[in-house]
Formats: sequence, C-alpha cells, structure tokens
Amino acid sequence: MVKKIFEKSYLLIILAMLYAPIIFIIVYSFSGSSNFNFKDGFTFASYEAIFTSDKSASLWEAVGNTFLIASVSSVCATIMGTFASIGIFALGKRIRRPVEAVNQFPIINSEIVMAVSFMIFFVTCRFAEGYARLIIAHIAFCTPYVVLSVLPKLESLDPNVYEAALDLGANPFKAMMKVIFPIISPAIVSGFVMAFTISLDDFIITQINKGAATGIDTLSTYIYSDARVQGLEPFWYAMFSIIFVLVLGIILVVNMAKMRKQKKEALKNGI
Amino acid sequence: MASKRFIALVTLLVIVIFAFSVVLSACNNEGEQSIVETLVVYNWEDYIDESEETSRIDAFVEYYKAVTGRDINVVYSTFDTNETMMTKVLNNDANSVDLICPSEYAIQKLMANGRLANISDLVNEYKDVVPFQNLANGTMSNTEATFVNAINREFSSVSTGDGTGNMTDYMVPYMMGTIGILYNVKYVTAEDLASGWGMLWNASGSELLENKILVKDSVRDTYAAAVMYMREYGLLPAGYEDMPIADLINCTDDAMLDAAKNVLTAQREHISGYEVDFGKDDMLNEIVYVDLAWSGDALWAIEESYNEDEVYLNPRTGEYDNYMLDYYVPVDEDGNATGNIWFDGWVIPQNAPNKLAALMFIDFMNMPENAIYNSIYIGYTSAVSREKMMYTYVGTGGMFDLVDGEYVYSEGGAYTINEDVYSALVDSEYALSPEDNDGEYDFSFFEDDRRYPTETSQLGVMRDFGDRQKNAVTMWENAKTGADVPWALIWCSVAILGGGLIFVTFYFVKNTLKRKPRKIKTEE
Amino acid sequence: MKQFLKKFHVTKRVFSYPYILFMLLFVIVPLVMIFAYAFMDNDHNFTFENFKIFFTSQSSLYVLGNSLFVGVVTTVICLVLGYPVAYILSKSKNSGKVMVLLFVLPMWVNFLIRTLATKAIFLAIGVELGMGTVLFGMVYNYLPFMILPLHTSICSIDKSYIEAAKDLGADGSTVFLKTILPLSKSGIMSGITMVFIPTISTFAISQLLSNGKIFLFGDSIELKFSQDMYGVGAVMSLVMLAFVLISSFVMNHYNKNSVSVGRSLW
Repeated sequence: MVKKIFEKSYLLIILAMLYAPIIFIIVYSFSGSSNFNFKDGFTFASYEAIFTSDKSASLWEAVGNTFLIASVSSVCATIMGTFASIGIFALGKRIRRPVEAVNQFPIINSEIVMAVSFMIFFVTCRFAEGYARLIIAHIAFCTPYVVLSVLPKLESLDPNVYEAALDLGANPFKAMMKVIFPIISPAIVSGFVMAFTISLDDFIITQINKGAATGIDTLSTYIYSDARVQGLEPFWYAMFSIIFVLVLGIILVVNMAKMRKQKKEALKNGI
Repeated sequence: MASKRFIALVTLLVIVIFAFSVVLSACNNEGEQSIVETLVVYNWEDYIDESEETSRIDAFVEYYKAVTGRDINVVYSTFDTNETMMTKVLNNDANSVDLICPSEYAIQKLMANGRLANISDLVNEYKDVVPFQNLANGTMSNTEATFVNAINREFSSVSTGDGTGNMTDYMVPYMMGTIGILYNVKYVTAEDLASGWGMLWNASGSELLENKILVKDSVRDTYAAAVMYMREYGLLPAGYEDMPIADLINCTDDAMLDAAKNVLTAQREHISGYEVDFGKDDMLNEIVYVDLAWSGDALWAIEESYNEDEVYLNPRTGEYDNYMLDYYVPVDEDGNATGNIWFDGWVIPQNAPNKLAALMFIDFMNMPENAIYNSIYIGYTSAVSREKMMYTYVGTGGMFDLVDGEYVYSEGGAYTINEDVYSALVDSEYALSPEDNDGEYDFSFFEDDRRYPTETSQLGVMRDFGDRQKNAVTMWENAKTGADVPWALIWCSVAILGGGLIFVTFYFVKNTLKRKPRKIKTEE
Repeated sequence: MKQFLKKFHVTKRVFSYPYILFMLLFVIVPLVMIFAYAFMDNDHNFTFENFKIFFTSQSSLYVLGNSLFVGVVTTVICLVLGYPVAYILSKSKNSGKVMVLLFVLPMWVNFLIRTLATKAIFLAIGVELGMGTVLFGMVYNYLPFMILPLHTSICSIDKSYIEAAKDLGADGSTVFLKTILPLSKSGIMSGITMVFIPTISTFAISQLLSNGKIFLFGDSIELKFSQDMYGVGAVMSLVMLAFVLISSFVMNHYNKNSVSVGRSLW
C-alpha cells in the first residue's frame, strides 16, 4: 500500500514538473498581463489581443503560413510515401536495405545538420527562395515517417488477399485500389497525421531555410523572433493556451476513437 | 504485360505531376501579387515607421502611385545581424532583394565584393524618368554635414573589387548612432557612472549590479566596449596605449584580441548574459539594470520608461525626472564621449530587380518629414541634416548654405519652420505646440546630446575586419563560452561515452560471433 | 499466374523510384555537399584549413566538450527520472496507456512555447539563468523521449520470465536487476540515443534559458554558418554526423523499430 502511494506520488511529481509551465501559461492567460499577477482580475483581454494587437496581422500570417506549409508538404509526403512504401516493399533485399537506411536518416539525423545541409544545397543550387524551399525541406523530413508507418502494415498484409482479388478477376491496378489501399489506409492516415504535426512543429529547419527576402514566418519562427525580443506579451499566453487545448482535444479524440475501436474488435473476436 | 507496366507508369506520372502541381500552386501564392510591381526591402527589424497611423511604407506606396501611376507591393523582410544578411547576399541567397540597409562595415565588405550598384550612376540614369526630391542633388545632399565628413574620412576610397570607389556613391545614409550604456537610474549611482565603460564589468563593485548586466551578443560591439574598457583601465597591451580611439577599435592584432579575450572572459562572471534583442525589454521590466545598447534602442527604451507617478534622481544630470532609464556614453578625462559611432545606409544590390523603385524608396525616406517619423518611431538618429528637418526653404533660389554652422539666407526665398516635422514632434510629445509654449518652437529634440553627439567627441567609426573577422569570431566564442564546466568533468563525460561505446561494440562483436553458427544451421 | 505476379512485382518497384530520386537529391546530395564544403575555403579551393581551425582551437573543442557534458548529464537525469516512470506505468492496468499519453502530451506543444514559458517562470520566481536552468530545460524537453521507448520495451517483457525468476527464489530487487533491467536493454539504448543526440545539437534552448551564456555545439554550428564560415561549420556538422551515425548504429543494433517510437503516439 505504502509502495503504491509512493509510486503514485512519484508519477504526480514528474507530471507536475512537465505540466507546470503549461498550467502557469493557461492560468495567467486570464490575467491580461504578462507579469504573473492578477492585478486586473479575471479577464479575457489577452484573448482579445490575439485579434486586436498591432501584431495580430503578422501573427495570423504566420499561422496561415504554418498551416499552408504543413498541409501541402504532408499531403505530398503522404502520397509519395505511400507509393514509395509499396515500391520499397517490392524491392529486392539488396536494394531495399540501403533505401531503408536512407529513409531512416532524416529521422535519426540531428535537426541542425539537416537544416544546414538543406541550406547549403539550396544556396549552392541557387534555388529560388520562398515557399518552395520550405515545402521541399518539409517533404524531405516528413516522408520517412509516412514510409515507416505504411511499410510495416504492408509487411503484415496477407499476400493471399491480393492474389484472391486477382483470381476473382480484378486487374492488378483494381486489386491495388480496392483491396490493398483500404487495408493500409489506417496506416496512411496515421502517417499523414504524423507528417502534418511534425511539419507543424518544426522550428530549426524552417528557421534556417526561411530565406532572406520573402520573409516567410511560421508560427514557431515568429514566436522565436518576437517573443525573444519583447518577452512574452499577454496575447502569447492566450495563443499558447488555445494551441494546447486544441492539441489536447485532438489527441484525446483520436485516442478515444482508437481505443473504442480496439474494444469493439476485442468484443467481436470474443464472440 | 507491357500494358500493365504502362498503367503503372501512367499512375506514377499522374502522382508526380499532382504532387508538383500542389507544390507549385503553393509557391504561386505570390503569383497573384507578382502582377503588381514589387519592391523587396531587406532591413533590420523595427527599423522603419510601421505604425498604423503613420506607416512610412504605406505612405511610400501612395507616393509611388502618385508619381508613377503604378501600384507597388513592398515586401519588408528583416535580418537580425549584418553577418546573417551578408552571408545571404554574398552567397547569392538574396537575389530578389532590391534594397538593403547594412551598417558601414558591411557596406564596405559588400562593395569590396562588387555586390553594390553605384547609386550616383543610377540616379543619373533615372533622373529623367522620375523626379527625385533629394537624390538629384547628390546622394549626400540631405545628410548631416559633419556626418558626410566622417564618411569621407574613413571610406573615401574603398575597394570595389576591381578598383576603388567613394562609399558616398554607393550608399545613402539612413540612421546613425553610438554605442553606450543604458542603465536604470534606481540602481546605478554616480559612482557606478564614474567607472565609465567599466560599468559593464561592474568595476565599481556594486552589489546591486552584479549579474544584472547584459552585453551585446555581437563580436564587434562587445569588442569595441572591451577595447574602450582596456583603454580606460590601462589594460591595453604594450605599444597600443597611445593609439587614437578611431584606430584602436579597428585594430585586430593578435595581442589586442588576446587582451580582449581576457577581459571579456572576466566580464562573463559579472553579467547576466548576452543579447541582441531582448535587452530593452529586460531593462524596462527591471530584470537587469545595465545594458550595452545602441543609442536608438536606448532612447526608445527611455521614452517607454516614462512614469507619470514617480520621480527618479538621475545620477548623470543630478536632476529629478520621470524617466526610469537613461543612456550614457562614457567620457574621457576631457569630458568627451568615447567609443564607437556607426551608421546604416541604404544600398542597392548589383542585381536588384527593381532599381527604380529602390531609388524612389531611398529618396522618399530621405525627405525630412519621413525621416522624422522614422526617427521618432525607432529611436535612432536620422542621418538627414538637422537643419533640413527644422527648416524648409520656401521660394526660388539655390539650396541653403551652411557657413560655419550658421545659416546663410539665400536670395529669393526664406527659411521657415518645417511644420510637418514640428507637428510630428508635437504628436509624439517630443515638443509642445507653439500655442502651449508661448509661441515658441521647441526643437530640443535635435539638441539632445544622447541623440546627437557633440562634435568634439572621441568616437571612432569601425571598418570591416576583413580576414581578421574569423580570428575575432574565434576570440568571441572563446570569451563567451567561459569555463563554467571544468575540463575534468568534460573528460568524465567523454570517458562515460567512450566506455559505453566500447561496451556496445564488445557486445555487438560477441553477438555476431555467437550468432554465426546458428545461422548456418537454420539455413540448412 | 506466378509469372504475371512476378512481372507485376517488378512493375511495382517503379513506385519507389520517385521517392528514391527525391531522397537522393534532397537528402544525400546535401550531405555530400556538407562533406565537400568541409574541404573548401571561401573561394572554393581545396583545403584542410577548416579541420585545422576546428581541431586546434581550444574554444571549439571546449564547446564540444561542454555539449557532451550537458548531453551526458541530461541523459543520465532523464534515465534516472524516466525509468521508474516507465516501470510503474507498465505495471498498471492496460499498461497505463492513458497515463503514458499524459506524459507525452506536453511534447505536442511546440518546444519554443514551453521553453519560453519555463524562462518566464524562472524569471518570475527569481532563479538565476545559467547551467542549472539549461539542464532543467533539456530534461524537461526530452524526458518524454526517454519514457516512451522504455515503456514500450518494459511492456514487451514476457511476464512469465518475471514469474519464473520469482519462483526460483529471487527477491524483488534481484528480479529487477537480473531480469527486468537486462530485458529492457533495447529501450534503454534507444532512449539514451534519442535524448543524447538532440541535446548536444539543439540550438535555441540553451540560448533562451541562459541568456546566451551557455553556448552549445548546435549554437556554435549556427554561429559559424551565420558568420559566413561555411567551411568550419561543415566540419562541425561532420563531427555531429559522426555522433548521429554511431548512435543510429547502436539503436539499430538493439531495436529495429525504435526510430519511430519517438513520435509513435498516433
């Protein structure tokens, strides 16, 4: 019993450490000031400031850029990654090994080295600056996650399913579209979500490759340049709280759905 | 079966095309805008009036439309250090930029690399296409005279790669300033001020200031401060004691760098940290009390520190006022300010796509009323001559003449108060309107010696360090890193890492050796 | 039929070609360029000067050593704090899936936001910024990277091993030391590499949490590239790459699929 309480309190302490900054932010987002006091009482002033502050234009532009880059690059990454997985799956062992190693590389590589290598490449090739650079860089480090998510699913696929479809008269293309895709689609979706969130969250690669003239800022680079200069202004507290609640909501919904599905499947199998 | 392969290939092609069209459509986001003419300005952050009411960028867009009849889209992008900007420009990574605003030494380096267009030539080329207000009379026609002299003295023959040129042909000054010490009057005493540049080393030993000092995270500014400190406290290496300040801050001999490294390493123990951007804010929030600052940042922060409800004793002037912060350039034994004076100027890259708009932008920003808006908004001292800002010449006749610092009223016209400039001052509460001020115009804004250093001051302009830049960076990194973690601990961590690695390799080798026979068995 | 399948098998390979091409162009070529830049001076002539500058400069090596120190300390703290968490969680119902989620959740808020928030708190309660705050920030940021793989590997331990050990008369601590710990080796290894590599190479965290007084390898690489010292920066990137390759070797050796663990929340 004592041991249990001890274990529980240990977990609580670590959780408290992890959540302290986030909770501080959320609580003080209602104070309307950035100095950790409730001088003005409970207020939504910080939330209003997101829309009314003189920085809201650049803030929303950054939000727009973030989502534009994340969605374009994750869609491309998902399409390319899915087909690549099918292709890689069909590759002979001798080619497959190095391809998989290359695929792993952007994931294990340190971000700063990736960022710098992209920069050198773009600069040396005189690649036009702007969205294209960022999107290509984002595709390059997001696609491996899609491949890593789809490939294992393909491996666990029963090869007979595909053959059965062919035996029943489907052509390979149809068999692929009607049989294989539906089976691997959960993996594709999770690959897409992973690519999307990773792209959304990226800072180092974007910061180093955002280019001089176009002035593209994503949310993270904008936070870095603005909050570092001015400190955290009240509207940042509100913005952070919203982001956190959003992330929390999405993750909870996704995982709830997943768990419910697992439960259902368990029930079905039980019967 | 060729048809199957064909189908696969077609699908593949469709996918690739789709993927790239998505990419391209994203890039074309700007496509809509490219129908309109663009001007890409590459400038320091917060270095132009961007306020809602008096934005100079919006004003320029209107002006451009009025003069040329065309719409223009100004893309305003920023850099945070000259080095970042130069790295981009020198590596052809900023080819769409039309206009840059680097500091003097960066201009020198860009010139030496043949990256800058000759503005004087450009003006001649475009003179008949559009009417220029100031540039038509030369790139320096609006610039403060003392300032032009300083540029001529340091940069009259600068290498341009294939020859030499006068910097005044390649650059139009925009802002200028000094570096000095921004301090909080509540915590800094007259005794601390007397320690001069030593204040950044807490030379007076004040307990209040210990670890409450910020210095610039930039090689050149900190080096200049270190040199001035060494000069004040007799720490200069032998043979350099009698060098004039202007040469001293440009000297990057090993002996000097070494000495600077030592004092900067020592400084690390007394300061809170290094910054290039958050210093103003930390000063205003009283997180730190002393900050190595550029004059404009400092003046901006001082304005922000105005507190109606409280009076503070200013240790520099000995008077009471409502400002919590003050700025001070340490003085030598004769009472003259010492240190570094710098300027930033507009330059046009050799391969700028829209040179005409760039010229018009320069011309526009050089008009007194625009200069005053920018100067008030960002806090720096405009390079436009004070006289031109205060007075306008009405009527016909030649331009005004300045003889021995006094006006010579030309025939045919008269000088009158520049009402636009004055009302901008009144709007920003730098001056009272004449009605409230006994009918007098108050131009004390232009007499503040924190903004306009006196002519006798011992301020040097810093040139490009050239090849020695690398050594300076290394020195800086050296000083900045300090030696918090003793080497013993570092060797410990290396040993742990190495041990772990040997352990893993050992296991790996053992396992592979073990596994081999088994493999053969299963394969059989 | 079989022949047909084989043919199609061959055709399917084509699907991977665009990706392979893409990766060659945008991942391999840039790395080769880093390698090339390491041997070039600013005028693109061949030189060993960059290596000489890096390996003979006391300060560069000190920065590297400093980062290794921060990396080792952070990793050790993460391991010491994270292992009990993973262990306790793995014992609870349903392997504590919801709780694991709770531990990983902060990771999904941008690290800059969290770091800035931490800094704001430190300033509010008057903690002096320095090595201590940097270490805290690192542990805070990378602890989930340690907990996740540990949890996965502890959960995958066959419970019968533990029971067998108990049946054979081992007491609690012996079971842990002789059975659980060795069997969770793969988790420990991938946890260590997943914390260590980002810790030594990150930039921004150390800068923000120490006002620039703690200067790590990632910061130094960034400084070199922003000061137009591409050559030296490239050499430092190569040094970093060596660490990455060693760690990826270690990780692959112990656990084939661990690379994806870090983000495998979904």
